[in-house]
Amino acid sequence: MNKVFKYGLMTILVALALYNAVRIKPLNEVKKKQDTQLFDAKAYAADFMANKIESLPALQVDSFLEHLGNNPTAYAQEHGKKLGISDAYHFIIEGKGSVSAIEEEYIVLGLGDGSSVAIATDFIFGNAIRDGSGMAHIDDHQNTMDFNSISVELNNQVRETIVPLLRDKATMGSTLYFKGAVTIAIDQPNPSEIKIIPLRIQIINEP
Amino acid sequence: MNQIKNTLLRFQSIIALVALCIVLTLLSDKFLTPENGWNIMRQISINVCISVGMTLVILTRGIDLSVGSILAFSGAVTAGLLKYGVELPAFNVFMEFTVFGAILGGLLVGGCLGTFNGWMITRFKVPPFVATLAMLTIARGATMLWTGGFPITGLGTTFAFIGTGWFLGIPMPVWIMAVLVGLAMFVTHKMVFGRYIYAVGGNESAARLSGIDIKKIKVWVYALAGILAAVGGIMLTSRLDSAQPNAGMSYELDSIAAVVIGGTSLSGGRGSIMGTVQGALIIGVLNSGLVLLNVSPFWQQIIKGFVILIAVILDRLNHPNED
Repeated sequence: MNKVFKYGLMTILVALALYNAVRIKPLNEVKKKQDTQLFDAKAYAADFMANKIESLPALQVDSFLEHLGNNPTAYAQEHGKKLGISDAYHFIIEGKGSVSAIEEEYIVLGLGDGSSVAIATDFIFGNAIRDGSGMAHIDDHQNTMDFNSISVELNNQVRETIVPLLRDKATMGSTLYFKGAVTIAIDQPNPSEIKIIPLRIQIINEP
Repeated sequence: MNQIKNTLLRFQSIIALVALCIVLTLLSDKFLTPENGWNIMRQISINVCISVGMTLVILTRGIDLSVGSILAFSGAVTAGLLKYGVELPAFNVFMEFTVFGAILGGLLVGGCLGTFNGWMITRFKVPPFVATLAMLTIARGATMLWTGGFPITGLGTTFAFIGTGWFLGIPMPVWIMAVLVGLAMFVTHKMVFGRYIYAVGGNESAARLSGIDIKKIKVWVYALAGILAAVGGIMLTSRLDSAQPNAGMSYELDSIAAVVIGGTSLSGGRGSIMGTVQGALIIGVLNSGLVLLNVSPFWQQIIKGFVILIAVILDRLNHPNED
């Protein structure tokens, strides 16, 4: 009798635990709901590149370079964007310059005041566009994979649409307008090593 | 004189802990603050959970190198069940897990892996070092498979309460740690099972001749170590709101260090849960103090290594006749 009571009580406890542990639902209904909630990073990036770049606030490149040489930390804290505890700041910058060199991995633009910047045409990686634009926040996404995939797709967009245009149209001596994203490690800012990831390129003058 | 020596030896961990606290208080004004005290308690809570299981294992003259990996896998399973549930396409069934259900799943996984360790050790006479070393890589691989190498994040506020919440002015991880330590002390001091653990570690042959089912005791001890590692994994996952595939790396070493510093003999049969808690506290206080003193992380590792060595040397000097 004692054993019956013991096992009976155990069965009830296990049943109660399972009842409170799991809820059974039809898989097809759950899938349907999930499909409507699925995050499409590719579409998100395409929409950003097509519709948001124009209105994206940007710093003027000459002012950016000047401040970077003077007091980079204060400038970055005021105008840059960063994620979490990283010491890398991201910026969106724009300006005009004439093509002074075309290398395999970048194109150099002379800015007229003797300084120059490099526009990347290869090794388009990192989170400069996503974090510099401030378009996406990690809390808005269900997981870090979704959040990271935004950068992947934005970089893909640049590789597939902007870089070919730049490679095709930029010739020595031509004048370009550019808007791009850049990442600076604030403890070691080195303007000569900055590579701008292009977001918008416009040919103003051809030689 | 002998009485004083014995008293000093008995309380060596507490004396070391108090001395360490005094020195760090003198060196840093940020050390002896309530905030830092709670921080240390929160930080050690996971190590204490694992170390309680490790103490039971070491008391039986064994070792468990797999606790860090079991921690990671159990945490990942809990997070995965909570976030994604389980799909059974053949039956058109989706199993959605509640927080309670996901935790049960994680604990079950920890218990099963621990039981597997015990089974390998008792059934096939695989040395504990080798069996648990194998489990270390198996569980780590399973974690990678389960997570696909990516963290599982966004587990909700209810689940996050376990690792980050406060209850009656005390952090939840500290409550969980206190309950587990209390239970483990009750088991080791007041229950027959606890006495059997000491007996098996003290003299296995004598324990066998006394009629103790050694295999059963060992399997239970490794299963408990697995469950306690799973508790640590669930707490860590909740605290970070994320199950990281590489979570718990080298946690086994921290837990062995806590057990050894706490005075538990690696030869088995001698030690206590309270000693392990003191060992974990010493490691926690040392970690916190070294960070506050801005000591390089590389030096921190070297210092911790020497502390473990000194603890073992002191133990050997106090018990020179132990095998």
